[in-house]
Amino acid sequence: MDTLESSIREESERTIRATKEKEISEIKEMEEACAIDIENFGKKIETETAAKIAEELSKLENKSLLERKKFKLRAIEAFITHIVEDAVKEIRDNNPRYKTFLLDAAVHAAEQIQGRVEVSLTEDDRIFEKEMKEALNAAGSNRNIFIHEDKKIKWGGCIVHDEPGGRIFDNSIERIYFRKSLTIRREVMRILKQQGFVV
Amino acid sequence: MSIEVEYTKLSGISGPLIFVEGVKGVGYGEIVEIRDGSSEIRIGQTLEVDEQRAVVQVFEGTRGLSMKDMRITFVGKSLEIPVDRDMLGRVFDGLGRPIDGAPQVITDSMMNVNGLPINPWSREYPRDFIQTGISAIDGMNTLIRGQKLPIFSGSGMPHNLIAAQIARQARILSAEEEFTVIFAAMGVKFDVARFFIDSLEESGVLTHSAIFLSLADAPSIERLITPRVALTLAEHLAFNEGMHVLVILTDMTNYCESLRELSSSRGEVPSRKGYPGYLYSDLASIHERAGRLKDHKGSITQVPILTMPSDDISHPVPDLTGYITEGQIVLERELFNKGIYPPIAGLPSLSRLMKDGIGEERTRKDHAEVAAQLFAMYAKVKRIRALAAIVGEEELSELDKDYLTFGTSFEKQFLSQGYEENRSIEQTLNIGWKMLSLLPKDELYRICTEDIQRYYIPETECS
Repeated sequence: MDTLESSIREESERTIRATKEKEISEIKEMEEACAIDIENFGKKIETETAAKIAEELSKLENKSLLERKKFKLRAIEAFITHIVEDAVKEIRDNNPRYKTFLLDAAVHAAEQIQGRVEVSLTEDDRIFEKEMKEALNAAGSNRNIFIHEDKKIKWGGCIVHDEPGGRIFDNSIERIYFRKSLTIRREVMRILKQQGFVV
Repeated sequence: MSIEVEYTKLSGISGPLIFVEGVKGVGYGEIVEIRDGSSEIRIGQTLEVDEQRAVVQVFEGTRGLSMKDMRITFVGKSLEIPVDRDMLGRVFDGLGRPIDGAPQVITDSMMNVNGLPINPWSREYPRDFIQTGISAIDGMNTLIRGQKLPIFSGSGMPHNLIAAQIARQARILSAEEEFTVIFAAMGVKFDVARFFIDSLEESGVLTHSAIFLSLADAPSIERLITPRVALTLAEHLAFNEGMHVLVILTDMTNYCESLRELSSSRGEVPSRKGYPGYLYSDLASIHERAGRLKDHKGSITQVPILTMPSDDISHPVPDLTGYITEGQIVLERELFNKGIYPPIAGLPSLSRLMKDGIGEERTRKDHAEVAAQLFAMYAKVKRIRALAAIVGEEELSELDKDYLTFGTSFEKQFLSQGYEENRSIEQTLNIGWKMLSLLPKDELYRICTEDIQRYYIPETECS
């Protein structure tokens, strides 16, 4: 009886020991597998994050490059607008050639018109009205000359209308600037580059 | 003293056309500025001139213009745009004016949008490979620098996705040469335009791209200028700056429809489906601006995209385009319905210049053979599928069944790829070999033994 009991006990203990050993080895295996999985997952996340960071950095770099480019253009444009306004003011206020330009522009246009001549000027330029009439009369005889103020002209110059011919001779400073704006912008840019303000 | 003359006598407005009376010294094709009471200035072009009258086509359309206050100025030259390297990274409207909130670039270079006629003798034969990262194109219909290779699509098919993917992924293999993408969209919806801008911006390629957008709500006449404006910048970058430029034009069908609209407004005698008789030469004036020049480093490669109305490849637009271009990439609705992206049809697609841009030192020695073999096998798959539809798959021989397996794998693994997936030519050819290895070596009759020994994957490894 004793032998049977001890034999059963021994067998049970051996089974329990084997089960425990198996359990330990399985847990160890699982832990190792988990560790490998965790390591792989970590590496994968690290690679993905690094790639994402690189991608986002590249996007930011590109964006900043573009924004810098746009900012530079905006700054130059604002500078050009500013100096053009100053220059226009200077032409009207202080340039002795302005009156000659104004009269020449009106006369040159009137020479191409038969009959009625209508000239638009700014309010300030109406001080040249008398001289302009004389110049237009000298340019062609028997003319009907009308000179009036046009609020749409802001920077100076004149607009000559040929109503029967369906033509307008526009020599307002705004229009001249518009026509020459590309050349002016280029020239300003060239000077800015020369002076080292723009790379 | 030169004084600007503005004309105010108009005898009529008809669609995008205005008729100006009493004009003197006006030239054909001269650019015209149109002003009405508002400060807005519209741009147009002289289409016809006689002694006293000029017909002007207004690019921005005539809607809202009043005959009463209108002033017309003939500028004295053809349409020119400023061109500069600084235009890269910017977004412009269909006439080349910036719409990204920054001013126009300041440059000394102005170029006529109609381009300079290229002396045929000074042209150089297109060579060298452009990698698009799309297997169906790189492997079987290779795009070559200086080539014009259109994509023929259909309504609802993913041509915009493919165009964006090409724009994002396209590159040349030699790192020292500069590569840039110019994208011109004509008659596209706002969401499509936004998609293109976002796609290029997010992938970081916008810095070396320029986008020209003529949206669907823009006057249709503007679309006639958009591809020319884009190509003008491309010519500057390619032939003055020595860059390799890929120009993507979408959708050329919208362009042709604008041409039809204008032709109809002018009362011209219509040709096929109402398109003008000069549709071919007009398209040629755009597509022939692609190429390479002797003594110039750069190149212009064109990928025009057009949607075939009712998937009809014999429609005048794809038909005439096909005469001008050097091959075509056709999108197939059957593949699209199977969920395959990109649904590039294997058999009707063709790159006529492929042979001159691939092979040893360009792509890989076996490229031409692999492409030819895949093409031949896929053609056989199509025949076997037709046979199987009649006799049933069970009646086919074992070899024919292998071909069917090859066909399915070819569509699912070689043709099909992700929108974000950028495959190198090496990867493409390796996938091609994986597909070829599904069939016995004896069937590879277009490939030399040496290459079969080197690249063929034995059945055990293959499975």
